[in-house]
Amino acid sequence: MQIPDTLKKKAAEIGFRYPEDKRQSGLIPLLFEVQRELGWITPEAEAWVAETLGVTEVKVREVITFYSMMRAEPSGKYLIQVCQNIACCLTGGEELQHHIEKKLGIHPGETTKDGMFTLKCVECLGGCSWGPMMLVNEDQYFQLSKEKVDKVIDGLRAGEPLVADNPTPLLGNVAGETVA
Amino acid sequence: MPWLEIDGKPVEVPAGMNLIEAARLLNVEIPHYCYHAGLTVVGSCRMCQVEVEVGGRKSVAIGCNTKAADGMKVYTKTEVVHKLRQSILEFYLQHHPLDCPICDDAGECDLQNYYMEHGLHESRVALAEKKHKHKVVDVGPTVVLDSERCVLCSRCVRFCREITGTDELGIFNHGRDAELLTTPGKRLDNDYSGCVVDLCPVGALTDKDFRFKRRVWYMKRTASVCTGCSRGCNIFMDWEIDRRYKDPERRIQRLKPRYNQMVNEWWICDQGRYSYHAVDAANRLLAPVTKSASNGHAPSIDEVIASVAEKLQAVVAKSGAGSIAVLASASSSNEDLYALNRLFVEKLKVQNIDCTFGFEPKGKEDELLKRADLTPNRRGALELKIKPWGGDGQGGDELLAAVVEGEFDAVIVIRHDLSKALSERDLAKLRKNTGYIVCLAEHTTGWSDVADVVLPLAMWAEREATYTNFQGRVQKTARPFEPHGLARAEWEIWSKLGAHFGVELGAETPQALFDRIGAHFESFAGLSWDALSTGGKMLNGTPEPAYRRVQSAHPLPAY
Repeated sequence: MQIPDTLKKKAAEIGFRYPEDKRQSGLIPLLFEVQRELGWITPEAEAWVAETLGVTEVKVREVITFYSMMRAEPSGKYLIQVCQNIACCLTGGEELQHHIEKKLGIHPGETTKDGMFTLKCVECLGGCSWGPMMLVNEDQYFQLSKEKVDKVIDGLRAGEPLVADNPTPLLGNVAGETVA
Repeated sequence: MPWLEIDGKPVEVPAGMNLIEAARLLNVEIPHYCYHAGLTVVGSCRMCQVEVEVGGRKSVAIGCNTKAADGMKVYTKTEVVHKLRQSILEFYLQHHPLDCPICDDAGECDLQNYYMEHGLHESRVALAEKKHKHKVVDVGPTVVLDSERCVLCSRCVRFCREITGTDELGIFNHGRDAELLTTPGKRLDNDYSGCVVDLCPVGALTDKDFRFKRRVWYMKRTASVCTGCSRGCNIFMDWEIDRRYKDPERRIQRLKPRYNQMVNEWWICDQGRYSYHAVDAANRLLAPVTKSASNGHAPSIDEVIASVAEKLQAVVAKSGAGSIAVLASASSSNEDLYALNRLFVEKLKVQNIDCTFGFEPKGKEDELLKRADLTPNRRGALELKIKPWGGDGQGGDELLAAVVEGEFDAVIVIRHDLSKALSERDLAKLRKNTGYIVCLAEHTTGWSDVADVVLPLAMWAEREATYTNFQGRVQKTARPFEPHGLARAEWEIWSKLGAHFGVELGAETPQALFDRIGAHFESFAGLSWDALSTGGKMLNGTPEPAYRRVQSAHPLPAY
């Protein structure tokens, strides 16, 4: 697999953010770029990231497998991650998860037949005061109800997704950039 | 240097020493998994927690990452510490399988041992709820991984990262799913991979070579020295000869590194680790072999040595000592070479002697331990004047060439495989040109086409001997069991042969022989067998090498 030029350009941009001897600090940002570009972190991309940043493949693998937002396997166009932490569960997170399972006809870890959605349950998405919540790719949706979940999923299917509740840009802010 | 108190006993320790090491000075064991003195400190296992009192305030701290400080009071045996250890062990055993009856590490597993001492004993964890991970994972040519048994101490990960710099192992996933593995498609395959088995405090990483061969409590342990190269790494020989019904041909069960700060620290290379197979190999030479007719009578060593003496005496009488060549070996011990020197150089005045040959196999050299010179006693041979033939430099090859050309009537070949050193044509030429060839060998290879007489040699594990490593450190091997068959130590053969020439070595044990070396050779002056102790001593006038931490030249960032 060829690494796209856009990704190579991004890698160079990320490299400039850090001093020469601390280039491995760019590991997580670069892995996110790979994921955005390719949908998931392929083994070839994993090796390329290691080489680009001068870290070992083991280190890259450790980071990818440690963070639940990193995808080491191909997933659907939209990765739905439902929070299972106590704050979300107390406000109905578990029921929502069952609702999504039923609606999409898949279990956590599976992808719908049309390749649109992959469902995952994760430990905490960091939105405890606005639970229950879920993450669709990089968009956060808070204070979910069954109706709101239906709107999100149906909207995505129809190509008109519901506007996300992201309080701040989740990713992509570069050093020096002011976060609104 | 800070003074502190550990369990009420005062102790002064070097500045910067941590509490685990400080407690060791008082023979107090603070249990730990992740801490290893040769690796970076990560403080991940939490097993080494102790109570620490500073300025009247008591708190709990981890021993590995807490430096001893002046006036500090450390408590390792309080009720609080006991409860902590109990809880940590309970936490570990939530997911650790109770494999002890079939686990290869039983008997030397820190989890098992600590649990017996500090554990909860009545478990609150149902077996069925345990987390299952990969079992019997073939991670490399020498190591098998059982990730269910792994306590994620990361010692092996840090070893591959900081010591060998190869970084094959990692801890993947997180929380209860965290698991030790290699990256997909990669194998734990470096020159020191066996060391991760030594480092593993539980039975997660086991040695393919040793798995299910013996229970550790059946084995006896002898401190010795590896003779695989000129480094002379300090080792333990784990051996067992009482239960011969199980694998009767295997007396040594495994080799383990023995700590010596100046030589090998905690490590040995795989080549040395598995070199012991040669000791009990099926092709060991067990009896003398002669080409002359024996009429069905198996000759004893003494008979064969008498015949060798007779023949050599005839050669000397006819053509003088100049017609004898000795292809000596830098793999022989100091005592062997001393006896050889006494007999051939001093008594018979043989000048055609050398121990440096171009055909000797060369090993891979690295910045850690491995040396290209695979002989354990090159330095000793040079100190004992087994000089390159014709002065300094590579004289051995010229001597061998002269041997092939038939310049000598008798040739003595010690531990060399001439069938590998010479072409078939040269071998035939040597055979044709030389009247009498005596070989001393450990195995039944390499001599059969050339020798008139072959004498069987005892191997390093079957004899007490001293070797001088490349730095000039004299170290001794131990002998837990007798040699196979009629094999004898090389010096014993020279001693017996010498008796026929009126040479008395003046010593009949390797200890006494070594002490005599000191009287004859200045560089060994002042050294005695007992003084060598377990760590060895430098040759007289040779400075101690600088303390070396065994680290790769390009260590990766600490884990």
